[in-house]
Amino acid sequence: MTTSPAFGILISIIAYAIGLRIKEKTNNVLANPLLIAVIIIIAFLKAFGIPYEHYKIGGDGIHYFLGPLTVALGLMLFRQRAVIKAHMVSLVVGITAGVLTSFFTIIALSKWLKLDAEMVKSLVPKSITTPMALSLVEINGGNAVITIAMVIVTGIFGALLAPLFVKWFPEFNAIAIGTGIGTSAHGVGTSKAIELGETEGALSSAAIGLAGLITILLVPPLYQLFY
Amino acid sequence: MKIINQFGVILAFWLAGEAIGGLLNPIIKIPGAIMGMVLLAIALSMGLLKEASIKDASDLLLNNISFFFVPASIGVLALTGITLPVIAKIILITLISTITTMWVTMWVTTKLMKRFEKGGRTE
Repeated sequence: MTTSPAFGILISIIAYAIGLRIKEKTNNVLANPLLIAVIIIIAFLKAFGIPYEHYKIGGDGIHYFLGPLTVALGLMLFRQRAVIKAHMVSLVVGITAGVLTSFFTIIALSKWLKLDAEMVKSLVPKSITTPMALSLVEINGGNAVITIAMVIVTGIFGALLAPLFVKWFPEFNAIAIGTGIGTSAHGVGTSKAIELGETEGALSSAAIGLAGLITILLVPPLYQLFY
Repeated sequence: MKIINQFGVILAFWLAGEAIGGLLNPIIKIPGAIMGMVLLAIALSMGLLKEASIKDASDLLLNNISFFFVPASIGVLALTGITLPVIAKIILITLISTITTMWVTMWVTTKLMKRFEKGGRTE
């Protein structure tokens, strides 16, 4: 029964629905629906001794939607065109500064803590949205599962930090705050930016797509040069 | 049928992205789906494609974005050989890197706006 594609798809839908429900009830950034779904499914498979390969039969059916999902991000970028046009220079330069900071802090800290190359490659896409992070792993190498895990962890850190940054650094304006959140903590951070204000939310959304693109263009050549 | 047609349009952009990404491969590596995303944004901006012809299928994907990552994340089950100290290290790196990235982006953007957008405050 568990070798039917229906099994993997159904358990994913149920586990994710539970994750969403918990998130809505608690309204806590730590209650990430994806994280909850993953914990539920792994616990279920372990508890009933169902092999990962059986889950994967149905899981692959969902996984194939990541291609069209990435393409659909183009619509998200298009919807932010007014904000992007209005703050072109600040956005592009600010985001590029953030992308470079993310890259070089990871390289420096990884060298200091003696992480192996596979791990470094998996960490480098951590600040960009998952579909784009996976695209970067596709061309630059790394372990996709670690990348996804660290993208989620980054998003949660970013969402927790964002309100503190607003309090600690009153000199930063709403546009800079939104840009910083979207660049450092993708969609999970953006959900917090939307709560902070309309400008913060719009800029954070625009920054997700731009930061992803700039990261994918800059990181592979930089990696060749510096690691 | 409408939503299937919309998926067809999205897949066509993906395929076009793969083709162009393949051609550019000797110069710069851009994944096909990312190239498809850029082509889609360009086609929409130039008015070659109307938002309505991809809206429902795109929103179905975009509004449930993290659901589609469930199977890829379960792959963690197939992972072996990552020790606790390594996990602690990568989480520490992620935390420090996220703090500095957020601060630098905000600082640079604030400085630039003071310089270039004096007239156009939009707080």
